Amino acid sequence: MLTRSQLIGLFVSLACVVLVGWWMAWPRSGLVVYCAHDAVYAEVILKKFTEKTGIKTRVKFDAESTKSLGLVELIEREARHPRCDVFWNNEVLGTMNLQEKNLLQPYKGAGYQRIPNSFKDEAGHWTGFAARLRVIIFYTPNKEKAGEIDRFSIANPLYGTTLTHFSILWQLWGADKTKEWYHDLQEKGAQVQQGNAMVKNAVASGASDWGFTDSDDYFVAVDEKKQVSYAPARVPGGRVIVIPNTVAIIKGTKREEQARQLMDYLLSEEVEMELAQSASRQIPLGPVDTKKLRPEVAALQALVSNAYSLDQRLLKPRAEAIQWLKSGASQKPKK
Amino acid sequence: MRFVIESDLMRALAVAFLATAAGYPGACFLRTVVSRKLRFIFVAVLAGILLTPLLLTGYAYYTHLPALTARTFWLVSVYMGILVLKYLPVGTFILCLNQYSNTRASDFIFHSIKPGWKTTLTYLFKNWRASFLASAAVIFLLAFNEFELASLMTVPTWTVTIFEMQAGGYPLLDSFRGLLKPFLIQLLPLCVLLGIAWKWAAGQAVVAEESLKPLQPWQWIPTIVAFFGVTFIPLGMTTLSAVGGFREVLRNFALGSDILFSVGVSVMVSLLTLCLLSQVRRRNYLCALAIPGLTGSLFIALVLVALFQNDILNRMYDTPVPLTIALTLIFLPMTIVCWFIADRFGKSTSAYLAHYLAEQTHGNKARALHWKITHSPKLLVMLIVFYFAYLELTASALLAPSGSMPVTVRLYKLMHYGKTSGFSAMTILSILVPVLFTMIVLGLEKGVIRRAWR
Amino acid sequence: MAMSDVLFELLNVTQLTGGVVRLRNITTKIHPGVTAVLGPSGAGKTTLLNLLVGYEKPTSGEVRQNVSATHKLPYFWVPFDLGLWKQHKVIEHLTVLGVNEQKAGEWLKEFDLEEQAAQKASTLSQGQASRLAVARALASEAPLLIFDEPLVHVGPKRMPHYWTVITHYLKERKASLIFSTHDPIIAASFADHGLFLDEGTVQGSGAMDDVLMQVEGGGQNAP
Repeated sequence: MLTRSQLIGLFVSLACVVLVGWWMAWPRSGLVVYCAHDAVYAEVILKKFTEKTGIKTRVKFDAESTKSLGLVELIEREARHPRCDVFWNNEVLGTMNLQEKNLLQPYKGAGYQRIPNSFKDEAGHWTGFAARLRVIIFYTPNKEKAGEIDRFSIANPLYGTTLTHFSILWQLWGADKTKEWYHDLQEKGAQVQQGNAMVKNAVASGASDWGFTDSDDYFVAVDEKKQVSYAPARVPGGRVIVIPNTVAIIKGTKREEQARQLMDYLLSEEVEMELAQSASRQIPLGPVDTKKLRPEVAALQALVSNAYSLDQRLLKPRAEAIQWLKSGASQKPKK
Repeated sequence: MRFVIESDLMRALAVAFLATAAGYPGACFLRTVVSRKLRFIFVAVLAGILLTPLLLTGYAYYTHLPALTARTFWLVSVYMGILVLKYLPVGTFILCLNQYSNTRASDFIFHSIKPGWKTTLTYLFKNWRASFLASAAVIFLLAFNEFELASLMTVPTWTVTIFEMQAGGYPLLDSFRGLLKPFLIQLLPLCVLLGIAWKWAAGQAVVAEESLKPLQPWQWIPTIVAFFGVTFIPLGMTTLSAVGGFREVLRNFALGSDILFSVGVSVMVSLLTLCLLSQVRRRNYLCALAIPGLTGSLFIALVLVALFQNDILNRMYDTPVPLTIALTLIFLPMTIVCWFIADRFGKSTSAYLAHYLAEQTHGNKARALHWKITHSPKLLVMLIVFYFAYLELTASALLAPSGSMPVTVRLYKLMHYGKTSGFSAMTILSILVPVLFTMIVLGLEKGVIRRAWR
Repeated sequence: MAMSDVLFELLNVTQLTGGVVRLRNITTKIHPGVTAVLGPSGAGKTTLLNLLVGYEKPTSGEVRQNVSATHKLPYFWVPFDLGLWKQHKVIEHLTVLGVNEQKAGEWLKEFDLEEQAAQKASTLSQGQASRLAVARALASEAPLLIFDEPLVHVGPKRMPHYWTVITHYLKERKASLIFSTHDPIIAASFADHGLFLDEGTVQGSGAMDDVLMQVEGGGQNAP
């Protein structure tokens, strides 16, 4: 049996080994990336970036339900002591919001050049890439029930691409009509889910018959061999909603050169093709070899030219919508 | 953002009383059974239920539950049902501490004299109230603060709402305002619990009773149902769906660094807890450190977010320090209770003699004996802390530093995508790690003790 | 009398447990040899022995000891609940003391526990358990033994034999024994000194015969 001092020594050694292993596992240096994109896909891309450039990344993802809004507001909160170097958002309005608050640093690199003007900031504060389409997902066996509100699902409009969708409606219909519409949905029994993935799950399982989600979530259901189909979600006027990922460098970054390298990498044809070929089937916005695209992605790409314009004018409706949604007044009024 | 706290309150109360009532048969079983083997198996089953992560249970049923999401009543009913089964062992263990038992000789005699109903009710009330209230209070706090299952099953609870407020970037003050009502609601059961614990610590000991009546099925059936519902079926379903996914996971083992991070933090939490507990014995007032933990992981996580975002502590915000502190505080109440129970073993005359022998003779056998009686139960407590710290979700999601993702947070994020073989495999592997770690440590301990006895 | 003639000295010792006074302002000495601590149930006998071995600490007052420090085990204690290690085998209770298996077997034989050697202590009857506790104490070869109501569950047929083994041990090793009992016959048969307790106070102490007379006379406070 070991003596007390031997036991203590063994204990301390074990603790040191664990601590060293833990220290090694915890990346101490590297580019801090706040990423609202799905971790499943984003990590693959960032890992390739590290392999290619040797630049390590420390990624902060957000809760599934709150995604981009959480990270946007975190960056705002950290404005005095910015921690983030590069912000990879999965939608555009939140990034524009940060631009308005002067929290982004412009950069027009090689990646910026290849993206069309309608999907990037003129001054280079942010650039869009690899987009998704807002879609209506249907439970195919009950497609005839599409239209029944109590069989409809929507994600919480306070977050993510649903917020973008909601902001567009707010802009087009005005505040009152949008509020009435949302209250009406809830009163008639529409299900408000935690996120787009949950909308997809609800429809794919038949718990709901139709709902708003994103194209990448729709394709997850397709890959799971669920009985689903889709149609593009159109806003009044018939335009579709194409929501790009956006990448921006945060003002005050101490790793500017590395941040630029990452930004160029994310905006490259290689990454857009990678995301297009991945299970998420993101739509490339810059020029790519279309022959290599999957048919379903090519079909989505054809819709991009009819996209509703997502620009600074949407920021005001977005801010008003957020305020209303956060206030609690958006919840189903009690009778 | 508003939430209706009253429905959470009623739900938690219902779960508290139902789980306590459901735990009563198991308590009777433990107090009746004579066979040590049978008692050990029963305790192992109860421990299995308690140690099964709610994430696993929720994940297994989750893909079938979307069919219920359109029917809120059934969704909430299933949610409550799972919680009742999950917390049944808590009721069983606490009710075991009760002095009253229908198998005890003195109570047998009481009933044989056929007292009137008033006398009987008074007698039952006097004997039962402490342990029943303690059990209900503990389960209420657990159910009221529950987050993981509610989030996964999209049951709208105050914990999910506050979590989303914080994760969604609401000002911290708003989050704290939202916490005020839940915190005040928890004060009453907290006071009840502290009062009863104080009284019990002062004197009442657990008494093992011999059987007067044979074992009855009603005593063990609820526990078996709970085991199947919370542990066996979810584990079975997940394992079956994981077949074929292991290869994929091991090929691209991104989970490795998450597991390493979680293990590292959990070990730190165990060590920090050990340091605190060694001081608690000498300075009883340090037990007050356990009070924040009784308010739940969400409250503690938010307090630490606020603390570490001020200018002074800001440097340490994006490090594992806030998370380590949070997890230590969260599990301190449970650890202190387990520690005091384990400590009781060290106060017996047999422990005293073992200690005396070890001190005087320094013989290997005497030291092994002393370790086994006095320190082995405490090692078990540390391993329990490690296990729960590893599987904790709420504080981990809010406080994990950039670049590090605790394994439960990754699992939680991925669970929303639905069931895949790869993900099921990740879930099984992730849960196996703390189990294996515990088995290795206990195996090493046993090996060292056995060697000493040769 | 010099401290060297005294094993233990209690000075104004009071002991409270759970708010109840177990010992009240006791001042007494315990000398080498065989001392019986007598008294009815609740007199404070167990508390006194617990204080001597250090299992309990006095609420007030002082317990001084002059126990031999030359032996590896200065004393061995058989507590009120026997202090057995329930998950260990009977023979392991002796081998843990450093006694080899053969010697341990001999001790077990003396106390009619040879057949139970490989059994776990938890499976023993109360009589067997109390014999094991005593056997363990003797196997320790300590110069001072402290027994709390030893062999209380043992039948009268074999009792004289076990006490013979104990007294033989004490004589051979020149060891001392302090034991509590509520049976004056046992005390009279084996003890040189006596200490009579009642309601937490010392009612009589000294030579065994004198103490027994005091006990029969109703103690110090008897009219």
